[in-house]
Amino acid sequence: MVSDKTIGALLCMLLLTVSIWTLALLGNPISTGKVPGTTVVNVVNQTSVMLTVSNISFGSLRQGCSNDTIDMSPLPLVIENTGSNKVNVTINATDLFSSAGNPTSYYRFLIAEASEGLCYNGDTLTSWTDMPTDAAKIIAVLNNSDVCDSAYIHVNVTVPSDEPVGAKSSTITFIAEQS
Amino acid sequence: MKKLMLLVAFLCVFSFMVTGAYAIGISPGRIEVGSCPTCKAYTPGDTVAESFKAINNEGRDLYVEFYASGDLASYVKFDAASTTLSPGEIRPMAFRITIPENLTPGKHDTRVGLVESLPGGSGMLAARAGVEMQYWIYVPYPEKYIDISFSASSAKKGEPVTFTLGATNMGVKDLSSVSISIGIYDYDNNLVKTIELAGKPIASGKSDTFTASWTTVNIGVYTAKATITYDGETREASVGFKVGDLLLQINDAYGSIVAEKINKVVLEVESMWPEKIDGVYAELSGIGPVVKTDTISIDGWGKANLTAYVDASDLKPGDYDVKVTVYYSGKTVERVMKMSVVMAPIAGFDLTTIIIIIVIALAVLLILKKRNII
Repeated sequence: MVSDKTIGALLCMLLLTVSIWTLALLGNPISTGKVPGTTVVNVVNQTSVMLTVSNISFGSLRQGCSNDTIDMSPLPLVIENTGSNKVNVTINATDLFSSAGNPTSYYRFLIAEASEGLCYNGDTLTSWTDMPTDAAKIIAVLNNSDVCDSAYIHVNVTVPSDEPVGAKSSTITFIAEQS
Repeated sequence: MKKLMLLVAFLCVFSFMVTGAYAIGISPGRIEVGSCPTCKAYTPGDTVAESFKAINNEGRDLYVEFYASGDLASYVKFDAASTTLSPGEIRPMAFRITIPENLTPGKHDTRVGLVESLPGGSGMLAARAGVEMQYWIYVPYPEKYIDISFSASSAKKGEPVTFTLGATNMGVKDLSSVSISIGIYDYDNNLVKTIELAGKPIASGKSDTFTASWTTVNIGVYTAKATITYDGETREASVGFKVGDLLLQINDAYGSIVAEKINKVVLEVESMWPEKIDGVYAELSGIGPVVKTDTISIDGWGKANLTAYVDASDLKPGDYDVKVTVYYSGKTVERVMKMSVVMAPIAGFDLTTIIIIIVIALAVLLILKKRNII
């Protein structure tokens, strides 16, 4: 025999089932615990560089004297790839000396590994090169990984013997492009 | 102590501010137009409105100038020649480019960029950074034209070498069938294998990639030559690759050995293995006591020098057969090399000086004899 309690329990279960179906038909689906949604991931194609050291002062130098940044005093220029693309970098500079215009052996540069290690490929200019007036490629495929994305730009200057005394300035321009 | 720490902190900040951190960016890094799979439509004669994002990644205002360079620089017009970007600002910038109607088929490279503006003349070397976006236009070829890239991976012996050939239809016409034949040649240019790949159609402006692999146990330097046939026309491409084994070869020895001295001898060794080999050293025997070189690492397929110092204190001038044994990864390689020990020059004189002195002495003797002095 079926008891009244059993009939009551069955009725409750039936009512609950009907309620769930009604809610579903009205457009209120039952949550499964997994929340549906949309994840937006922005993959930015960006070419970006930073000069973490952007100026060099050699102090006072007499005619015929030289100085460079190889001994890290003063510090070399440092370029860091801060974008999402690997980059090639070009250099050009305004004349430093009035008696010897660029390109000249009195004003040279080379690329070297920064503290992170070798972050560029073999087509990079790693021996002393006269500073050019027109843009010339100096760094090939500078990495964009956080652990290795920098390079040193060492500079060597020699004051020509016939250079007039006074403050000497030059603006060095680095341009980065996607490699 | 607290005051000292504050002072140190202030100096560090001050130092950082002096050296500066100038960051500048542009997005996207490249726009491609014309006949390539990722290209935007090529519309000769039209003036196209384009844009990029100028990015200032540093914590100060950045005054930047815009520029265009390259093939179509004179066809680029900016809405503004320069602007000041606020700290952290990403600003959309518009420009227009007029695509000339008579461009020759192929790639045309134009750059659009921004560069920081610096005041001049400060008695120092001041660097500024700039970034540029590549604006590449691939003008379709009027007939059928295919652009190809071909590469081969070097491998260890017994493992597959993979050949990859990318083909892009740069012409205005669809290609009904592009088929590939790859010939593999050994170092002596003997054909050792031919691989045929089935043809595929490639529509105008589309790309496809063909891959093949080949396995051999014969180590060496090979060349793969690909012949691409499409609708009755052919193009060729070639690439070199290596099949290696855990082998080192001794290429040469450099340096002169002078009797009665300690002499530097350099051995050049070359790896035939694609991976770095650590702990490589050599021993030289047959020229005095056995000499051990320094221990080095050699990069995959690389060459490197081992240095030995040969003590020739007790060696007589002459030719010696020297056995060079290179040790690496539990293996050895040997080569007998001819090395010469030369006589030590008399202190303060080289051979030329000695000959000159002898000639002068003979001339003096001759003159004295002619004058009957001796």
